Amino acid sequence: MMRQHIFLGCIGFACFYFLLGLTSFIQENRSPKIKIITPSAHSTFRWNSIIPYSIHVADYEDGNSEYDEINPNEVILIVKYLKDSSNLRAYLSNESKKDNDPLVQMGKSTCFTCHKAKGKLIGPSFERIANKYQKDPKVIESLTNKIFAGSTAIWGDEKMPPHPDLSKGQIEKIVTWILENNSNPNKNYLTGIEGAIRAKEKPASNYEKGILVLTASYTDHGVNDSLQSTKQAQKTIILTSY
Amino acid sequence: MKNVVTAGVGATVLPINSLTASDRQEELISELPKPSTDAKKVIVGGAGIGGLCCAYELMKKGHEVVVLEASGRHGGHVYTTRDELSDGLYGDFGQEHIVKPGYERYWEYLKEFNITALPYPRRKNIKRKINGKFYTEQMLKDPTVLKTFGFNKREIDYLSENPWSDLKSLYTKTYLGKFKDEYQPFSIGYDALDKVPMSDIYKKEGASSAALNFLGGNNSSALYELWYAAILKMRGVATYPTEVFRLKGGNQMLPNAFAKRLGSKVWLNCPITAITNREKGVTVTYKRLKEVKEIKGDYFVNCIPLPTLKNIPIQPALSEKKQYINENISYDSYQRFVFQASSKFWEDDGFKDINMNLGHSDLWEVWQSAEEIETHRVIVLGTGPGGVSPKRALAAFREAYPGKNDSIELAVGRDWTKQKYSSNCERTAFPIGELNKFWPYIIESEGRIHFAGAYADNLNWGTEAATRSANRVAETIDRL
Repeated sequence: MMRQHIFLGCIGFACFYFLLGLTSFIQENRSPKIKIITPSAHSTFRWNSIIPYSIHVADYEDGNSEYDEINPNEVILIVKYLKDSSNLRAYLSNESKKDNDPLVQMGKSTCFTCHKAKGKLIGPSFERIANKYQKDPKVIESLTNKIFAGSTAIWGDEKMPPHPDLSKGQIEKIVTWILENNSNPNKNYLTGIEGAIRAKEKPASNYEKGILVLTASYTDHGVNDSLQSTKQAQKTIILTSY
Repeated sequence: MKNVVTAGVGATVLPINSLTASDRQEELISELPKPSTDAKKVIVGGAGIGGLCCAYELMKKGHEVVVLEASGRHGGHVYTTRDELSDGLYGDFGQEHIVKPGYERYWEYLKEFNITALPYPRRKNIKRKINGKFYTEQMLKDPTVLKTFGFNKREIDYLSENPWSDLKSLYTKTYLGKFKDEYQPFSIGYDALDKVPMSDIYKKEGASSAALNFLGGNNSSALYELWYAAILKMRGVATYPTEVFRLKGGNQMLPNAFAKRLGSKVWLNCPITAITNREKGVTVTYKRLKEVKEIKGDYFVNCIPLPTLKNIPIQPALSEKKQYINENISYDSYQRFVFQASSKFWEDDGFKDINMNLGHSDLWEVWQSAEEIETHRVIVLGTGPGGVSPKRALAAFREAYPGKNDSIELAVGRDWTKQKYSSNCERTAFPIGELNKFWPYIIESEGRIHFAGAYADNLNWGTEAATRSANRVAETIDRL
C-alpha cells in the first residue's frame, strides 16, 4: 500500500515537472507594468498651468523605461477634460470599448516623431488634419498612399517620409482613426515617458469644477519582439481643479 | 551648502557664488576687464552654442554664471561624431556650415580661439535629381532643358544667366529695397503681405506653374519671406550661398572652445524642472543625480529651444504673448547620416565630387566632408527624415546614386527627431498672418528671464542667430 502511494506520488511529480517544463518551453509573454509617477493620483491642478508628468513602464521582455529600454513614442497618455465627475463613469466605460489599436500602431511606427495630436510639431497636428479632410473613401485612399510612399519636395514645403513598415491596410485604419478621433478640444493624447500637460483657462462658470482624467498605456512587443500576443498595461488617475 | 526641505521635496539650495571654479579660470577672469556695473549672478538654461556663448560673454564681463544642461553633453545641435569612424575621420551630425559674410560673430570667435575654418565645397557643382533624372548645373542653365520643365521665357532667361538655386531672387528682388533695418519688418508698407502666402507673390509676378512647383511658399507669409530675403541682402549673402565653410576637426570645435573656458561652470545632466521669475531674482529648480535642487540668481537666460521650454513650469506664468509663441513656434527636424567609404568611388563613375540632391524620400542629399584627414577613406554626409535607419538610408543611396558602385563600408546616423531633449533642428517660418504675434516678442525679455539661442534672432540661421542673440542678451544684462 505504502509503496503504491510512493509510486503514484512519483508519477504525479513527474507529470507535474513535465508540464512545468512544457509551459516554460512555450514561453508566455508577460504583461507590462505601468505607473504614473507624477502627478500623484487624486492631486489637484491649477487652471492655466503647466502640469509636468512622468510615467514608468517595466516589461519583462521589452525592458525598463528608466534605462531607456522602452520606446517613448509607444507610451501614450490620453488626457481628457471633464466639467465635473458626473460624466466620469460614462467616459471611462466608453473609452474601454474604444478600439485604440491604430493609436498603438502609430506609436510603434514613426508618426509621433513629426506629428502631435494638438499643435504643430514638424508636420501639422492630427487635429488640423482631421479638421481639414472629410472622412470619405477617396480622401482616405489619397492620404494612405501619401503616408505609404512618402513625398519629397525639391524646394517646396512638404516632406513626408515613406512608411514601408506599415501595410496599406494598417495605414488605412490609422487614417480613419485620425479623422474620427481628433476633433474634440477637450481630449488630447501625448507620447513619451515625460512631458507636460497644459491646463485650460479657468472657466467662466463657477459650477464647472473641472477634472482631468489621465490614462497612460503601453502595449508590449510580445516575446522576442514578435508583436504576437501583445499585452497592454493601463493606468488612469484623476486630477481635480485647485 | 545648506539643506532645506520645501514642499515635501528634498531640495538643496546652492548659492551661485559658492560654485567651484578651477584656479586657471579664476586667473582668466581676473585678467579680463571689470564689469560696467556690479557683478550679477546669471543662470543660463541650455548648453548649446547659444547658452555657452552667452555664459562666456557674461563671464568675460565679470559676472558669475552657471549653465544648466539637461543632456549629458554640451554643444546641443552642434555635434561632431567620431564614433566608429576610422583613421581619425569625423562627421558633423548637426550644424552644417557657415558663410562669409553673414556669420560675423562666429568668425570673430574663430579668430579669438584660433580655430581654423576650411572651405567646404559641398554646394559647388551640385547634381540634382528632378522628376527622376539627374541634371548638372550646366544642364540647368541650358534653355532647351529649362524649357522642358515648363519655365516661362523670363525664367529661362534668368536661369541661363544665374544659379539654379537663385530663381527666388527673380521674384523677390524688386521688393527688398524698402527694408532698411534688418530687425524691423513692419511699417515699411508691406504689413498687409503677412496675410498673403509667398506663392501668391510669385503668381502675381508671373511665375510659371513649373516655377511655383520648385519655389513652394504655400505655407509661409510673403512678408516673412521678403524680410528673410532682405536680411540676406543686407548682410551681403546670396539666397543660396555656395561659398560655405566648416571647422577643421568638426564644427563642435567652437562650442568646445566656449565650454573649455567656462570649465566647471557648465553642469551637464541637470534638467531644469521649474523656474520662478520674481521681481528680485530667479530661482531655478533642477534635477541632479535624481535629487531635486534649487539655485538662485539675478537673471535666467533661456537658451533652451521653446518647444522644450514650454514643458517647464514657470511662476508666475509667462505673459499670454510669450505663451502663444511657445505653443505655436515651429521647427523642422531630420536626420544626419555619416557614411564612411574606402575610396572616392564616384571618381570611377566620372563624377568630380559627390555633391548630389538625390530626391529620394529616405535620403535627400549627400556631400563629402573631412577631406583634410590624410587617409584613402572618405566621409560622405547625408540628410534624410527621422525614423529611417542608417542601413535603409544606405539602401536609398544605392538606389538613387547615378553611378555603378560605391565603396561605403559604414553607415551611422543621428536622428534628431528622436532626441529626448530638444528634438528640433531649425526654427521655420512663422504661420501666415502671425508675424506680429511673434516679432519682436520672441526676443524680448520678461521679468528677469532673457531669451537667447538660435530661435531668438531675426534670421533662423542656427549658429549665427545663437551667437548674435547670446551677445545681445549678455550686453543687455551687463547694462542692467
